[in-house]
Amino acid sequence: MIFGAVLVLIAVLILALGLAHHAIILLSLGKIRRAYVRMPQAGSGYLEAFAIYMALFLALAWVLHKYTSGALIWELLLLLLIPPAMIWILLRGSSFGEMRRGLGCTEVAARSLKFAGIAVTWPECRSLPQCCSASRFHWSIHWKNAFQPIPPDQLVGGPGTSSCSTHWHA
Amino acid sequence: MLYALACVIAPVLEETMFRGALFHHLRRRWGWLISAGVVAIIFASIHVQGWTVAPTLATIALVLAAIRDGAARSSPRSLPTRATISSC
Repeated sequence: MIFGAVLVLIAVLILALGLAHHAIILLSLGKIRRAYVRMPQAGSGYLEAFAIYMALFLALAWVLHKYTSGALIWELLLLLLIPPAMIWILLRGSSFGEMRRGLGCTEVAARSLKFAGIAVTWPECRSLPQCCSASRFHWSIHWKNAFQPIPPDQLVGGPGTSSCSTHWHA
Repeated sequence: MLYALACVIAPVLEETMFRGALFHHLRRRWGWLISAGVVAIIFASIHVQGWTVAPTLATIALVLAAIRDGAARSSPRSLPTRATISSC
């Protein structure tokens, strides 16, 4: 298992080095180029949006720390921090398309994210039907036996079944 | 749940705001190295895993900024890369 993981890591490392080498060659040949163009006069809407995000992030983190039990489910609320930042960028004069390009919210990203989400949650999704069928089995046994008389030797806490037997005899 | 947070929610948030808003703003004004360096320092500072992992986080942020810088016109490939790094 560990040997296999090490082999996979080495393969990924070799692949990454190969792709980096390929990218350097393409860059030197002029086949690919830097995407950003200097725009010193551009507005500061994105920086302000980031400041809003950071302020809301710290405030939400404090509220969650103070008023919740620390369950991970609450951290889903962090996703609500993105819309205010987007709205601020729009209010500062950027078009919707420019904002999407600036933040990297493209269709390709959404599709990649969907597949990444399926990939990382696949083990849990795969075990979900088993959990459901197991709980269904449990409940069917429970309901089947609910109206049946239970023999005294199968009672929980009955003679010789647990530490409660002491109290039972007493 | 932890997987979903680390591999989906955190990449969406951080790629949108760090490599999206902040890097996009800085990159239009400064060169790649300064922009990526500033983003990497803030990215490493805001994580609560401790200062011992800060250099690793900063390195990851630099790589992601490089991917974003080279791919801004076509697609933000830094997002799936970040999700893959988180899943590892």
